[in-house]
Amino acid sequence: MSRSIVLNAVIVLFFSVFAFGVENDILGNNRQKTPEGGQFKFLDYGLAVRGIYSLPSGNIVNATNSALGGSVTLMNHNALFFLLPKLSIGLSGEYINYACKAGSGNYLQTINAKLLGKYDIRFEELPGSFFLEGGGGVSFETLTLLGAEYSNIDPLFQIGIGYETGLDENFTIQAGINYMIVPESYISASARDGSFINISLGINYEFQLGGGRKK
Amino acid sequence: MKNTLLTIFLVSVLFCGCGNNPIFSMMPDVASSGGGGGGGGSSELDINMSTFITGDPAPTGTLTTTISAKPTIKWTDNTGKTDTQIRVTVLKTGSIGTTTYWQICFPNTTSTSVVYGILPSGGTTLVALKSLTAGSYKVRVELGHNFSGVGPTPVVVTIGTGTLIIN
Repeated sequence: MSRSIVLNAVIVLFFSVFAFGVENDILGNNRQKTPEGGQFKFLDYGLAVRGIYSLPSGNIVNATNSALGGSVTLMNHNALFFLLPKLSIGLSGEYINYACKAGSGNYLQTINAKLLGKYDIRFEELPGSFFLEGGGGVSFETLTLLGAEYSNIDPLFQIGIGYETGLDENFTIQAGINYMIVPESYISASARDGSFINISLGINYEFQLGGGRKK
Repeated sequence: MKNTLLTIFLVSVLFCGCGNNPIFSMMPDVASSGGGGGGGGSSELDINMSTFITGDPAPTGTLTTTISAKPTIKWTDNTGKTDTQIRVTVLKTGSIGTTTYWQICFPNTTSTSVVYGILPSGGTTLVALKSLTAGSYKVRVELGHNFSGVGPTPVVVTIGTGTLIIN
């Protein structure tokens, strides 16, 4: 019950900040600035490859160790232009393999497919831009425990923040932190959910297909 | 086309609870099993391992008791070993036999749950059996090494089997 309250509070906080930003136009700096000193342009698409350091949280901290993983994300900056100019949407694939604390040979392998929204917040004084990123998806889990293998497919939800700064006209560096929850409460015998804090660092390539609209 | 794909993805996410394996609940909680779990007092089953010697024929016993919810299985280790592990198997229905020896499933179904932890050298360790609802359970407690199955064949001896009744 308390976990649900915390999760709801985080979601409400996220959207409150989001709404405040839109209403007060602090998000209003556009993406068309000439690249200089870390500033960059968003083109039609961004292809990001990130390394992930994932820490279990909540009541699974005693069950798994932290793990390294990776993700590939393709963002479209124009698909939701009609809704909010700074809102991008994209698909992300992620792989993380956690070693269980039960001993060697026991591990939890997760493959996550996500639909993510990314909202950029640029301040005049800063060379790069902050972003809010959230969404949901599907988690394909395989648990290998004592020589036996179990698999499951669960929904997942994630929310996070990050910072992005330009390397040159097409490449940016992204760093972020997010909270991801994989609920399993819908299973009758389930006693806990998957809960993770992910720290990511990666590189993003901006590109354009055809004569698409620049933002 | 783009919107259709998006809609399909979103709907699939909403209804994707496709499995019945509570993966995160099945993972053994090492810290709680090593340091002592919930329950206590009248909700403990005492298992004395003082007579255990590696290579002895597996002793058997009966653990029949009536205890409250969230019972704790308690044992004492005076073997002097520092790498010994305990495995507790709980079976809701059916019987415990060689065919289910390595099976790990979950209570409330027709399967089993396993909790194990590394014992300290001597002393007492408590392992909480969580998520057990009222009912009658078959219980098997095993002592051994290398439960993870890596390296040499695990040496496992059953030190007790019996019935656990939760009101």
